[in-house]
Amino acid sequence: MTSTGLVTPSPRRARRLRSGQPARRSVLRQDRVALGLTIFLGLLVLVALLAPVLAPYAPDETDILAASQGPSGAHLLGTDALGRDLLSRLIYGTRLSLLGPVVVIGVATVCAVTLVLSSVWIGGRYDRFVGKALSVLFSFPGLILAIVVVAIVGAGITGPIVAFSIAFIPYIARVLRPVALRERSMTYVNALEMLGVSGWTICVRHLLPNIFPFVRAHVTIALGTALVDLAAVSYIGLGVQAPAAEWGLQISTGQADLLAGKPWESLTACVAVLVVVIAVNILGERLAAAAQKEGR
Amino acid sequence: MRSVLKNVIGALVTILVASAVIFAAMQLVPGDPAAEIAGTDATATEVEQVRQNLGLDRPAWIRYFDWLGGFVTGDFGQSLQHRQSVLTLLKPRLGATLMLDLYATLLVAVVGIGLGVLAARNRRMSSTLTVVSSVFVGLPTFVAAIFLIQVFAISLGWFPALADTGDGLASTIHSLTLPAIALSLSWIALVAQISRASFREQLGREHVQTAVGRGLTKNAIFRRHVMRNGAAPIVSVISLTMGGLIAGSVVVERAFSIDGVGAFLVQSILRHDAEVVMAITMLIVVVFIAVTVIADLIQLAIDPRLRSRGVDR
Repeated sequence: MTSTGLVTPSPRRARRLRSGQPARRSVLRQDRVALGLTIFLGLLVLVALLAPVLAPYAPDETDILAASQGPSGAHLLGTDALGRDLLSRLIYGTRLSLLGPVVVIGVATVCAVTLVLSSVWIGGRYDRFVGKALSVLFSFPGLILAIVVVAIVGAGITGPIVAFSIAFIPYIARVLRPVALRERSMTYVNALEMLGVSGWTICVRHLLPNIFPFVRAHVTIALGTALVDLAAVSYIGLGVQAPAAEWGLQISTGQADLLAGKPWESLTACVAVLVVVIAVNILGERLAAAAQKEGR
Repeated sequence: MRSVLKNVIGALVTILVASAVIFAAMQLVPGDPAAEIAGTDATATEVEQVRQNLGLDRPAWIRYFDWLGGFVTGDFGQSLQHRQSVLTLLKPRLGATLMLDLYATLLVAVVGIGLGVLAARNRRMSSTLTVVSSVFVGLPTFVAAIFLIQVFAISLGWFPALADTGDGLASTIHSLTLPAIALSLSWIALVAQISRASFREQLGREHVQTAVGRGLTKNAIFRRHVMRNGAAPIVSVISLTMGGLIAGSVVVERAFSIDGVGAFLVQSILRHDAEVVMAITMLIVVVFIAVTVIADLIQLAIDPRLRSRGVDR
């Protein structure tokens, strides 16, 4: 039997089709930096989960006699204006500071991937409508959308999470669309179609796993942006409200102390945000580079 | 010409959609303006009277067109909290915010493109830029603000920690320096990266080799051939920047206690002052979209190829 090149998928794709989850291990195995950053982020999640065990004090335990102190043996990072232990608040802060972006990006990714795959598959008028709707949404700054939603539901963590879940859809979809479109035009997709495999099965079992490396890379980068945006909303006073422990809020409340020459609360929270954002960004870039290479 | 028209019409439609969304959203804001204006000890009939006087008893779509018409003619309504016209309240704050955003845009354009040019022409600069900019691109505005306040306002005392936009141009510029830097840092890094890449790409092109062959000086080649041809992506990233700066100034105004539009917006939301929130969000949307359209038009102006083909992007 002669191969027409139309029905037979390329060997690499064929391997990926069989294994289902493409090259997940290999990126981390080949790239030490990416592996290290993944472990670091995993540890952060652990810190969030184990906060009550790890934190030396309760996050809302005040000691007014030890207010606004610098680092000492009793308080490793010092205390805030109410005498609460900053290290403990930072540790508890990982919970809200990480949970928000994870929910936002989780929801946005599911919506974006669904929209991209369905519009690439169905095409035609539906595709054009989705494209138009996303570009209108994209032309609206996420922070402003969050502010409008907060105006309706009131200040707190819910409004910003809802708003950014919507605002991040076009942000992710924009990057995935060309990748999905290219994958759609591959001969193996035609082949599967001719074999009578349903569109649903092709999308879920074949297209999705094959664009997964790109999804993973861009979702990682978007996670960093979402973390900054949510912290920014809390910083301006519309997000997480006191006395909850959250990094953006801590930077804001610490500013009075900062101006009085006691920078500990603001600075430690700033460093926490910065370290996580940089770690996530570098990991995202590494994954994106690996996905690029893989796709060629 | 056709593509210009298409751009402008597309922008107007987007603005119209946004205005409807904003108006609809504000109908959901809790609180009854009529009851608030009438006061706490007003009877039900008095509240009803106020509602009729304000025209709040009319159907929503009539009020929407009324509001939109007002917005277009510069009548932004009345603030519930301040009992003053929104326009009067906005004017001084608009000045402060515009000043801050222009200052930051200037920094982004000059420093960002400048670094891009240096890095495109010098290998050492280029590798430094790669490392430094990857840190700064991810730097959140509020983190930058805190670090700048700590170093340049508190430790060194060169600039004020709280910006004062009141007296004199010189002192205003002086006190807006830290806010403008905080606002522009991450965008400078982005613009520097993109302009370096764009200039680099042009340097490798045949037309540049031809120019070298013709014996033109390096500077002349860079100015006339590399910078002009490499400008398109830089213009579009700077327009993106201006949009980002508008959102970012909400954060920076909080950081440096600047009484600008962003700070006013946050304040009005916390006080449920719907008219002010609508006016400011509409203004932001209009400016945001206008910047995008203008960038597209500049794109058409610097690249005649786009015009002749009639491509809309």
